[in-house]
Amino acid sequence: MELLLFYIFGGVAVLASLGLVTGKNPVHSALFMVVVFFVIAALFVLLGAEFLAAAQILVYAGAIMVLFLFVIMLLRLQPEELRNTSRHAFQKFFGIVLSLVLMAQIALIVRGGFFKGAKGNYTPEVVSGFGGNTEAVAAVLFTDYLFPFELTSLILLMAMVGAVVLTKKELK
Amino acid sequence: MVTLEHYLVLSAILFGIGAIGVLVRRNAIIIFMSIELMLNAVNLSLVAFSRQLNSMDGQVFVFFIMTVAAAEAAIGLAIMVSLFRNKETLNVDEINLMKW
Repeated sequence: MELLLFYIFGGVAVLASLGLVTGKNPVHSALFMVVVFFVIAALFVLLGAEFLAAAQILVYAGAIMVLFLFVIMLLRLQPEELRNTSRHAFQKFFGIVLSLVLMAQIALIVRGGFFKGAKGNYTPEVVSGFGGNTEAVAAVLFTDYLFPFELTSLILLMAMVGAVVLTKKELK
Repeated sequence: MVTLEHYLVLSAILFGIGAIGVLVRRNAIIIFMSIELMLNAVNLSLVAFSRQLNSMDGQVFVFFIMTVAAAEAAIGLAIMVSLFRNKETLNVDEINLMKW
């Protein structure tokens, strides 16, 4: 059952990301991107990471996708912007070949099974003892990673200020 | 049984498709979306490792990556808006001010 769900979600993810990459219209690409984000959230649920699945849908499928669609609609791209120029056949060919080589290399290393790390303490029993995945993530996030967690607020503040400064019309 | 390798191979495929998008497409917004796709592929492999190794650290890292991706999307799209205002195009071949 889990395997069947994995193949369904994985297949949809691959097809939708191909649609994202090949789409002629940026709006279509953005909608394919939402499909990919939702399917990856479903895979997070299969992996037992319910908190991240919820965060994935809220942050990516909610906030980031709306931002993309807003910008695409604000910029009113002319038809020639949408057209894919054909004078780059050489670059396109090598881009595809090199990416396929990269993909095959990663898959080959992964199939070799070189990943033998030390096991951590959070077995499924311990996680359910905390009361669930969200509580277990919080227990780690607010103890071992408290300082990085506080630093992310600084990153978000910088992003906010940066976005306002960059899109301002003229600095007086 | 879905093993770690299943998730890692899927992650490699998604990452490769994202890399194709970055190298082949000329529209800056679609290149940006491909970068988001690559970030998501890496997130997937981090969560898969987190389950495999019975550790919560991977999931905390994914949480931080999501924060950084949100900040990056805001900044990147702001750059694109000001780029379009100045050059009236988002074709990365015509944005060559710093090339010589």
